[in-house]
Amino acid sequence: MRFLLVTLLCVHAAVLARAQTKWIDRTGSASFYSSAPMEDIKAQNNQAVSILDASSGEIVASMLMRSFDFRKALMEEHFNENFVESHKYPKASFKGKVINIDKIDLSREGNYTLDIEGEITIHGVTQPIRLEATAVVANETIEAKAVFPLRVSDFKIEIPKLVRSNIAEVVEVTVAFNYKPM
Amino acid sequence: MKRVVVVIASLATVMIAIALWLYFKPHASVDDEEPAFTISASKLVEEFHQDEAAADARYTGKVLQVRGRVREVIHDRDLYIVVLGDPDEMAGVSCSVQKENMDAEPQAGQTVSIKGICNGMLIDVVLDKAIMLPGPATNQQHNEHKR
Repeated sequence: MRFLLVTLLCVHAAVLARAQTKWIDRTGSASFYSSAPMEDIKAQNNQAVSILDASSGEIVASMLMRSFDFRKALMEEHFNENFVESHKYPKASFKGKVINIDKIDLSREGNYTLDIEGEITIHGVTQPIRLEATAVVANETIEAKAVFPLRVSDFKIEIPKLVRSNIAEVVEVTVAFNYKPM
Repeated sequence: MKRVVVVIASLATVMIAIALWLYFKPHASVDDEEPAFTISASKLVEEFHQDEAAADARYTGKVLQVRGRVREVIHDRDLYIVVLGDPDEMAGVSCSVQKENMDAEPQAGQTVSIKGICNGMLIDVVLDKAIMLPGPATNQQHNEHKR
């Protein structure tokens, strides 16, 4: 009887543990900041989606380009129609892996540094990327954040000469996901 | 002579005003725009699931008025994300509503109408620059009465 109880408890724990390995955020934020001589531009997207597998370290993220909100309507129009061509390439995506996942136990509360390697696709162009993210595990959530630079021309995004002094060649991207158990 | 100066000055003023207006043009508000489609949250999700390309062509970039049950409300800085849909379904309709357009935070289980611009679909169909529409916000108890 005791054996049965222990077995049941173990199975229960295993099921719980498995249920906890996949984490999701549907309202992640992604923003970019362009600092150029003429002006600084910031755009924010609050409806990015990401799934993190805490045991394998695999991460996928996806967002709609149209969900980037700019302070000025004209900039948002130019961004969607001329630069990233949202009608042709509606989504940006990331697929990668936490390469130091062996040394990290995301099921335990604490602060971690994640080394992430993967591929990022914007404007139909895929580029390899390596970045560092911080993760805070507490109260049944994993809060992950990363800041990294992206070169606009790497993604075949052409900036017309006329506005070249308004838009930086390298923009600073900030992503933040607040993962909850899936 | 004086009249010419006045005319030129006022023309210049008008042109500068137009240029400034274009540059600082405010975001189109869905407030006074008629929705291109009025549709239930479940029907919208279903259409995107059946044929994403067709639904994209039909709805993306358009003003939609969507009615559905609130599954979740996420409050993030000066923004609310209201997710409409069945709690048992993976996909719903995720609507971002600026704080200033939110009079009273809806509760999970309430049925509400939201108007916003469709951006396409990730897991959820995404509505941006959305506003809550006043109207008969029926709560769950109401629905159960009807049943």
